[in-house]
Amino acid sequence: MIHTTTEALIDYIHGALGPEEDAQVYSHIATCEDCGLEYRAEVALSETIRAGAAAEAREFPSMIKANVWQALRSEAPTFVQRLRAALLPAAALPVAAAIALVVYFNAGHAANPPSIEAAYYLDQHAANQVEIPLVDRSTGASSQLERTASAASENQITTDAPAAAAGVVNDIR
Amino acid sequence: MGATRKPAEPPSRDQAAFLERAMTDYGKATYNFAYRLTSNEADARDLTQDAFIRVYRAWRSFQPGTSFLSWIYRIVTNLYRDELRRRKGRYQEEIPEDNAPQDYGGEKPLAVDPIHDYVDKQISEPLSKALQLLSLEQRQVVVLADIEEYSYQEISEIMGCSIGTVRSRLHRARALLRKLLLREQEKTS
Repeated sequence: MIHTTTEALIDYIHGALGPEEDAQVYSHIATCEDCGLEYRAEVALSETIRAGAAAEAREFPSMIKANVWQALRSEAPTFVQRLRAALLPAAALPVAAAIALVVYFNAGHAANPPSIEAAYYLDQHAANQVEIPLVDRSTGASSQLERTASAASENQITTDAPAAAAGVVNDIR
Repeated sequence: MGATRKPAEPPSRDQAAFLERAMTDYGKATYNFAYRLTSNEADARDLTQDAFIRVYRAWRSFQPGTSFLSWIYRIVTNLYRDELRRRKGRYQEEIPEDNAPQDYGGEKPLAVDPIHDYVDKQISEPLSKALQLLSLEQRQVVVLADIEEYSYQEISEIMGCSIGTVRSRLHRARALLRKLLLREQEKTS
């Protein structure tokens, strides 16, 4: 007869044997006095351990919960949190500048040139700025302005508005 | 038309609720597990407190549907092992390896962990005294297998070792416990 080892009995008690070996141990301890005695000793040990643990079972101290919350509220920030707090103000300016650039380019200011010649606006502006109290705009002044505008367009330059205005005034005088 | 989705709550609120529920539902079990490892109320309180702080910080790593107790027992086990290593470094005291031969003959048994030597404790129960003479790993496996009634597979996951290691630790621990309890019985009789 092959006896069951103590190790196998411990595994048997803890339900750690495979079905076949479990069945072998079960039938063996029922017939073998020595192994049955060893089995009962191991069972008694498990019961002693459980009874001792039950007798010593303690309630959860309420101070633990309070201490945990207190510790979490007062704990120092982590390295990552400190790093983020330090870098956030420094990173704000470049980020804002980058956002402004993106918005500018997306709005098409640089990509799409004005559809009307800048010279036209400048000449128009210069003409409107001229004050000619006693001259009728519909006659002499308009011919002077037309000459100025045509000269500017012939030169194909972005006319300096104050210079153009001064030329107009001189012509009138 | 789809159902309106309820806006998610701020993570901090969920995190706080998770911790609160964990302490309410599992505080006692966790504290008792810590006490069985340390056999010291002050250490058990500190250990439990640190474990729940770890739960708060790592709450997203808990997988719903799995055993919360297994998860927090693993946290407690790791924290206590780290604490013993820290104390070992402080006192330069050897902790016997689980598989090393241990001589428990003579009047005073070998110190199996620094707490046993450096923390004043009152052990009245023979079982508690015997448990304290086991190594930390042996004590953990006995607590998990015989008190918490976990399977070898679950214990191996909690302790981060193989099932074979769990089995051999349990066999050695129980053989030692029987010897120590028998000795205590002979002393009292």
